[in-house]
Amino acid sequence: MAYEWPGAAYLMMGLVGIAGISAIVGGAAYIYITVGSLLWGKRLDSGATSPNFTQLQRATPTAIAQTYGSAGFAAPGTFVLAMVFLVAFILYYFINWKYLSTRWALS
Amino acid sequence: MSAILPPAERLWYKHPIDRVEGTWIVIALTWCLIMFGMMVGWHIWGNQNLSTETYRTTPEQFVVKVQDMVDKYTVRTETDQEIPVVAPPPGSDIYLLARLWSFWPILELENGKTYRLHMTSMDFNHGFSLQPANINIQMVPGFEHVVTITPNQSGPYSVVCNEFCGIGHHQMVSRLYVK
Amino acid sequence: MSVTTTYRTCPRSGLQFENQAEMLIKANAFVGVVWLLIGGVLAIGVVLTRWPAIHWLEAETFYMVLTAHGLDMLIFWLIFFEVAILYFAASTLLRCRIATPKVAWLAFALMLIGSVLNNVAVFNGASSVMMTSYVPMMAEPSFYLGLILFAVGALIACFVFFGTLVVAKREKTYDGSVPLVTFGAITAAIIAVFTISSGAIILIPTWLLSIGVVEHVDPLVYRTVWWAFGHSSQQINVAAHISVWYLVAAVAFGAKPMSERVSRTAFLLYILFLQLASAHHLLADPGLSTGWKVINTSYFMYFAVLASMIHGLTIPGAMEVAQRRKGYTKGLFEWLRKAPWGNPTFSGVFISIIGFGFLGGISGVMMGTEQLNMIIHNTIYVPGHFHATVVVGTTLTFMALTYYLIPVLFQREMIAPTLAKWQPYLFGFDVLLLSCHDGCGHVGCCAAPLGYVVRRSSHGI
Repeated sequence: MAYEWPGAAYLMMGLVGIAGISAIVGGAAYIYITVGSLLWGKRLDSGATSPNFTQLQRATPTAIAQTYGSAGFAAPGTFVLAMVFLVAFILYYFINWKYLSTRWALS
Repeated sequence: MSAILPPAERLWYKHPIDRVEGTWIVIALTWCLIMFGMMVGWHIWGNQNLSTETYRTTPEQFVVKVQDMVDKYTVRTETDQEIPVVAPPPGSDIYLLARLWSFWPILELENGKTYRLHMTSMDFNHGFSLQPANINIQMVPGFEHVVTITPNQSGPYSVVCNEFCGIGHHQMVSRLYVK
Repeated sequence: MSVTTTYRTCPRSGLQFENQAEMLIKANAFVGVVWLLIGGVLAIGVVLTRWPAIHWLEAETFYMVLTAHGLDMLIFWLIFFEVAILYFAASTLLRCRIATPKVAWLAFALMLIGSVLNNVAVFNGASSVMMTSYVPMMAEPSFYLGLILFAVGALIACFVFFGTLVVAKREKTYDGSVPLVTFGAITAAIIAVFTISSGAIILIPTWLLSIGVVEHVDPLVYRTVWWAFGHSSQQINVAAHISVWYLVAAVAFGAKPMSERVSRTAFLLYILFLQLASAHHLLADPGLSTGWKVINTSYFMYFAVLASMIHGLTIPGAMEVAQRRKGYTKGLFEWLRKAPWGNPTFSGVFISIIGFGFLGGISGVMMGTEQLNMIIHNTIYVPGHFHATVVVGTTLTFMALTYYLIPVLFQREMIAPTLAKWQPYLFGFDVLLLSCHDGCGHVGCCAAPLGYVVRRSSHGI
């Protein structure tokens, strides 16, 4: 093999391993909670039964909450988060184009 | 609660769009158009674009071309398998085949010079992954893909298969040199 | 037509569950979680082998385990659970009986038999072909047959779902238009129909090839049609998990969609543009024109991406509006700080939104850019991306939904509530870390000094 893999590649895969095992523990917790609840959880009241349904009504109308936002935005905090997302997106995107430009010329 | 209830207004499609949503939609759409522009623009002004020049081929037909190059331009052999190292002239057509589980031959190119690289697989799908240049191209059996390449750094490179191709996949590694 | 129905009104949520429907929802959800468990056990094998210091399984076993892990997670766990969601969205949310319960049980049986048959084929050892099973690398015939049976079952379930919508309309079980969550489920079901059809178009000839009836399946045609199935199947997941996000916003906050028109149009964009956007899996392939690649990965893909970006704003936005109405108006983020972070249904969904968007979405769009694709094609970056989308995005959302359903659908008190409070954080953040490190050494500025990008699906590095 001509080119030796850099040590950092092994480090990254090792970190993947650690994160992966920890995530599997998290997944196992989910299985324990859900299956355990079905097996040992206290039974709850099922509620009244009837052979018929009651028709589902439309939601009650609410006023647009323009008065709660700022600058006329109903959800300014979410907008800020969205802009953080956009900036991250733009930066990440162009960093990768820059990297591509340093690769061999291909056509 | 109304995502799980029918909309309050019968004519919900007439409800005016909130300013936050409207602004974000315009911003997002503009960004999408910029990204589209980048792809088209790179074809015009950028140097890294994957060629789509492709010909149908068969293993028998392709092997003839590879062997021809090997016969003309071999400079030495390497490894126990005695894989020929081939140094074709700049500007020429060069050939690389992938098969279970090796690449053949080893190419020795010159920095800054351009070559037309023809690639195919003899059997299954393989991946052409050139490291550390980090160029990754799919090798599909039956299709001869022609890519014009210009190395920009001298040194030894590895050609690694990165499309799962069976039990020998992880050992399918070869070399490439740029002088 | 007299059909006996029994409705139970849940005292905790007010939802009305019809008896047959409830059994079907429970059965499909339960089997889904069983596949998640099996896939999770297999994940131990994958992770401990790709961790170079441990390198546990030897190659043949590893490739078999990796094949099974991919199929059990990406196909069987997710689609069984999604069928449960479809029945929930059509029956429970619309207070309607399942149109044809017997047919729904047939669908369930086919899916169960198919998934088991496929796994048996893989564990026999001669079908380690990865989920993609690219020809001419062949698996045993029962590998393909299992998938085909599963797909037919899932398709039937989708049609039972559509039939239930028709019954609901006819029997006037609801007034007005369908709720947004049901609309999202309809989107998922429509995408499922053409996803599964694409899968059938390519897997049936491949199965016939494996038993010698057909002589040749073109490898590039296989890749093109398979990915029409492969990518679109992930968009079923997206439509489903986004519908669940709206559901959770409603039940956790009483949030109301900011604009039904915007949200529904965004779902519609998924249907219109998805199938063609699958081309981003073929960007590194020969034989497909640049024009086709660029149009698919931009014009078509970006409309789907736009839809996701819209939902990514409207759902937290709806939560913010609901919180502000409750009085959390201090500064820009009090609504978020005072959100129910101790409720695993909410925390799972919010981590999912952030992880899916920031890691999954951004990396996905980068990968789907025609020229940028070459720097990540078939590298470990790809599993990094899709664990962020399918695990932190879809799976974590479904986990969060399960916590809500334990009392509401299964009528049980949840055991270990403190563990449940922490589980979304433990799982969500660790999968995000896994994705990041898979991606590391790839991001532009890191890859240059790192110099090597680890490949995917490899027993070695």
